[in-house]
Amino acid sequence: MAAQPNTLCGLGTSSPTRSSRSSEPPSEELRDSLEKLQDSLEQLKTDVQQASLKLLELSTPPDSSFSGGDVLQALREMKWSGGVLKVYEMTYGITPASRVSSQIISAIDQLKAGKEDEVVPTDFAYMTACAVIQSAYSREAQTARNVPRIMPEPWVTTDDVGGIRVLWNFGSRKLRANFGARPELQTYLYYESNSELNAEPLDAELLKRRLTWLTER
Amino acid sequence: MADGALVDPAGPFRDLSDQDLLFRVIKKKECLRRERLSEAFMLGTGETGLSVCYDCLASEAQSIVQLDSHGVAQLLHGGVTALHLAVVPDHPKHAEIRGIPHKETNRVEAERLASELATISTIAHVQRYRKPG
Repeated sequence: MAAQPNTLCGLGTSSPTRSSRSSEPPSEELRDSLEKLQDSLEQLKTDVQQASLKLLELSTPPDSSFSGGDVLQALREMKWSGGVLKVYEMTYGITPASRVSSQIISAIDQLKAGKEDEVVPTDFAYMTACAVIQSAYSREAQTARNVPRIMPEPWVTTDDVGGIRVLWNFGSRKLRANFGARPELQTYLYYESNSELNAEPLDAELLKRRLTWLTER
Repeated sequence: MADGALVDPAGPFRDLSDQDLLFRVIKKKECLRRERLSEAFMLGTGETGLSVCYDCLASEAQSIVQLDSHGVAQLLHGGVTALHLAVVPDHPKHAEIRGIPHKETNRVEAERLASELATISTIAHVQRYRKPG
């Protein structure tokens, strides 16, 4: 990453802001600063894109200890997390939430197409799961206040009658969404931590809240 | 039998001790991952208990139950009974863990016990097994 983040930060301490408030044309100093800022941003985008791709690549092997959530958590823990995450989103045109949502929907589609060890989900479970997941992870839902940027990637599987189960783990917290195979079978959200456990109705709003609960400190 | 007494071909079986090892065959490969093992302890539709093997090696369990599978988890009988569950033998090398509700009848208890059983289990054997025929 060389010194680009520092360069970016350094520009923030100069005086272009004061000049920009006046009606005078931008000074040469300000133009230089803006050009440097633009160059720095481009370089940072490239660096983040490469670093993110590398980290996501590391998360590919099934036995790897990395996951997309780990990557985002690592970025978040850096002091310049806000900027990096913003560039991450700009670079990919997606948010962590929409990326995880796409992965879950893709996993559900794979189950529907037929996957080893798994029962093919029923149409009812498929449609219910897709609707709830997409809604809970939607950009609108995830831009609400207090929604974490860390998005653990769940495991998507089926029960023995074609219901869909989506399972998240984060530290000692567990979240399991059970989409019943048929309307008369149970659809619920189970949550568990060291201090509490229970099940509640499963809809997009409650799932969104529990995803927040899953990663909150 | 010389005395003409009827003998139940399915029993009786010896009493299991706390130190007896139980082996649970893992049907889904993903369940071999520690954080996903709990799914291997959810009761299936129509099942009265969780199938486990005992008095055998971990590597023999898959051929005893003859299910397409990816490995075997082991847990102590004492750990299971500590969860107030019973282990009921129905074969010299096979038993059922009884007392686990189906998620359709008691979802919280079904999920909680799946977590608890996964916590006291370890993966003892990893091998792809396909049932004969």
